[in-house]
Amino acid sequence: MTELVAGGLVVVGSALTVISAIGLYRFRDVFARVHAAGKAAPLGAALVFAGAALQFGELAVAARFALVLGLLSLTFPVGVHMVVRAAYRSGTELAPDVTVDELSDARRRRDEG
Amino acid sequence: MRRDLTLGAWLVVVWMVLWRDLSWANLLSGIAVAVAAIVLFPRARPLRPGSIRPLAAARFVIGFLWGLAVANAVVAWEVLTPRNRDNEGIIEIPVIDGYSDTLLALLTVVIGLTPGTVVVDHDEAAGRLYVHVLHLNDRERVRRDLVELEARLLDAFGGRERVGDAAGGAGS
Amino acid sequence: MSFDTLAVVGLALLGVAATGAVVRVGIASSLADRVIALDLLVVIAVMAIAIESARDDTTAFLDDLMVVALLGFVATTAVARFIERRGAR
Repeated sequence: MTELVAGGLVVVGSALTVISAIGLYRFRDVFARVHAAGKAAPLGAALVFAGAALQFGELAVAARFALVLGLLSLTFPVGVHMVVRAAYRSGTELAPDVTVDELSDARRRRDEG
Repeated sequence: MRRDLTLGAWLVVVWMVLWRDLSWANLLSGIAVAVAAIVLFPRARPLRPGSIRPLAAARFVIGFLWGLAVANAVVAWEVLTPRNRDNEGIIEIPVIDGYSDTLLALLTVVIGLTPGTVVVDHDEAAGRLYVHVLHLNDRERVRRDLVELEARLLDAFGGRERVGDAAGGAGS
Repeated sequence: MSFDTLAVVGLALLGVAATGAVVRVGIASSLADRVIALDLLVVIAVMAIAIESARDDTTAFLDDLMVVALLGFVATTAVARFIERRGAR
């Protein structure tokens, strides 16, 4: 029974990752794409780790998975943010039909004012 | 000083867990590495001990995990369905008082993990944060939700980081 | 239905995801796009190591997991800094 649950977690986590990979194609600009890739990855990893740890059945192993997951959850979003910030600052365009961009408004105000 | 000691203690613990061997050699080498890390990276300041309010923090984490699960499910659904309902934009939110650098980093991580939002830039001088939102249907509501998130995070993890805050939170 | 079967299914799914990510690196329109796909690839690799370790019941690679995850983060940050300086093309 444990095996089934563990395996199920692994499959669901992997499926989530496939979805986030699809997200890379579906969205039209960089900023939307990071939402797909950057959110599902830690969650998919959490599920897969939970399944793997369950399969191992040892507390020490689970603790190490928890440590890696904690690390991943803290560092992955930071990496995503840095890429987004760099992309914006270096002039990457938002999708053409985006109407709201308060950052560029603020920048323009700063440059004019 | 107390902050450094707490950080140092945690670093040594992690070091020893990684080596999986509670020996004296590991303890000493762990202390050496921890001291070197703290000395070499003075800008990496952890939260002050006592800033984390356990009950509020636990509530925040649980609420966050739940929201995370739900929102990820929503995003997954949207990636799969063919219709393009995106409505993205970058909005500006104020950073409420009392946010230290460390806490701001934590906020960036939380916003980054929440599906639909990601921090784009930060105007330090003006104290404003710029967030790219995937579904911007009601700008003001999203703005309010984000500021509320800031407040909850500050409440849970930033207890003593607040400047001039008396116990119980009388207005500053 | 044993763990092994399900694990293989999971690994196959990860393979699909990885292929998608790699193709994305190829057809990406900018450096930022590429590095995001690569970051995803790093996480996929970490997951695959975890699943395979569970299948073989070996804990030998759990340390590698941590190193790969950390290196992935460092690499992404380094490329992000590069983009800031030199543009996203």
